[in-house]
Amino acid sequence: MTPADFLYHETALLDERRFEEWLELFTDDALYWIPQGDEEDPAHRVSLVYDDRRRLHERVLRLASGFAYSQDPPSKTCHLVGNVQVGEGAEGELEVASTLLVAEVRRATQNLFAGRVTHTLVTVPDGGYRIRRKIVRLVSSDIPLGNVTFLF
Amino acid sequence: MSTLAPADLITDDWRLHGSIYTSPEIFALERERIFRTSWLYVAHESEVREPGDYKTTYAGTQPVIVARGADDGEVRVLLNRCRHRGSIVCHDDAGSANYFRCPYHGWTYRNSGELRGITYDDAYPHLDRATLGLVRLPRVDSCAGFVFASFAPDGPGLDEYLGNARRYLELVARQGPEGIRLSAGAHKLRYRGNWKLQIENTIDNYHFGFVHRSFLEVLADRMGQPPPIVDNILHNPEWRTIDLGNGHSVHEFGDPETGNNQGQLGDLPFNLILFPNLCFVGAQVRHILPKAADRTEVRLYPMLHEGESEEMNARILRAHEGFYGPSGMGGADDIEVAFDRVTEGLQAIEEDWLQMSRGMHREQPGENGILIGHAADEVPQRAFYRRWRKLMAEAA
Repeated sequence: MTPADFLYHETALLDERRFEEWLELFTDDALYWIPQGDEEDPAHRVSLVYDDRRRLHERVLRLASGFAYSQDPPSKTCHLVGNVQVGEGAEGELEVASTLLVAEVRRATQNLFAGRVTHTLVTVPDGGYRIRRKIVRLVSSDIPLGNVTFLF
Repeated sequence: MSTLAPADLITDDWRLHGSIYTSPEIFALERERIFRTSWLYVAHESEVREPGDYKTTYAGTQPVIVARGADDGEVRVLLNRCRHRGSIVCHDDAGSANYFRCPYHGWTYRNSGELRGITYDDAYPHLDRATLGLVRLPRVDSCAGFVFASFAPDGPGLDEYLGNARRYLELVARQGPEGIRLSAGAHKLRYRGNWKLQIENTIDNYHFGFVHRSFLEVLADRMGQPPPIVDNILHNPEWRTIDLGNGHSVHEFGDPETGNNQGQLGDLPFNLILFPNLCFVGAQVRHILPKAADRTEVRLYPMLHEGESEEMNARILRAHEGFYGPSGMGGADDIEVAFDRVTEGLQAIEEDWLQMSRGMHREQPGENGILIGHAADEVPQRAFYRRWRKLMAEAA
């Protein structure tokens, strides 16, 4: 499996709403981060999402609770991953940059989200990968947004 | 639109007419009678700390620049509108500048508002430049670091306007060891719906166990047992709603001085509404920006604690992000239910009256003219609308 194949697999899980399986792709020390604006400084600036593995678990648990009204009805999404570039990371890691387009349809509205994504992947013995960091830099992160509760 | 006069949109037994939320005519009247008469929040002093610092925001519905004078350090509130042809003269959220230069034809203003230069000015032999500065709001004042401005040249001062709410604003300012600062940016929300829906929802504890049921399940998973929030809302006598007068209200989660709060890190021990469009909830300043009868933006500024460690402030940010913002596990459910679904439902106008009478029979008078009610009662909402009705019914 190439890193690009892994990203296609990851986003397919999201489009198919297989969130528990998606969660399993993350390491225990994972970070899922959607910064807001150009100043990326989580110690001092607010982010749209800054989830450690515990909170990511909560996010998935919430979606499965049946009472997450912002996802009732659920968003239908279509993730398109492109411009994949695989770079060197720390020992045992790969830094994978990609461009993400997500079309989201909810109720009677279609929304388009776009951004640059950086995955820090670790290789695992079975030959696949796990996600240690996923940073989603949305081009729209600093404009007024409505309900953005589907997963990138 | 409703043919009712503004005073008749709210009945004595606290039914509200739906056109309050949907009518463009009511919205136009609000711009005139609410937002041109009230003291309006525009900034916290930490956002314009140094001479020359500015931020752009809205005074009610009107775009303004809040600028600390480069020469004299005075905070002014200027309409963000070139006197020539109306372009905004500053489009950045914040920054530092001695001058604002209109991009359209190059008219230049000092950051105190005075017109400094007109390009190719031989075409204006008789223009009175002294009268063509950026328009200043006639009154600017601050309380506990929070800056307010008013379009009304006369009327009650800020202290009198805040009245009983002043104490709570001062408590907000004392949350950190050395105060608070708004340096973390702001979540920016938009929704299709009236601005007052966000005010009502901010101080509505009745909804928590319903709209935020999924978040309660998250908390139960996190803590290993069901959280006591709903039990407190229903049964804790120290959790109470208070009409502070002048349209302001508070919901106390125990003693507001000591903070008997069971919320998240950094959370205030109360929710506070300052009429007309400023709220304090969780660890945030919530500034509500009305755009049209059915269109609203909201800015959520997390309050960081001055004199506190970086690590603690980062934890305050993480706690805020978990619940609030476009992707928060709580706030987005409010957008869906309390705004979007309400706005859709309000199109059914055949029976257009709503109920805002919850707990009317058990609200009790306290000192200084306040009214005290149970935690899940609509005392704060009535406080807001009492003031709203008075202003809307007055002749302009």
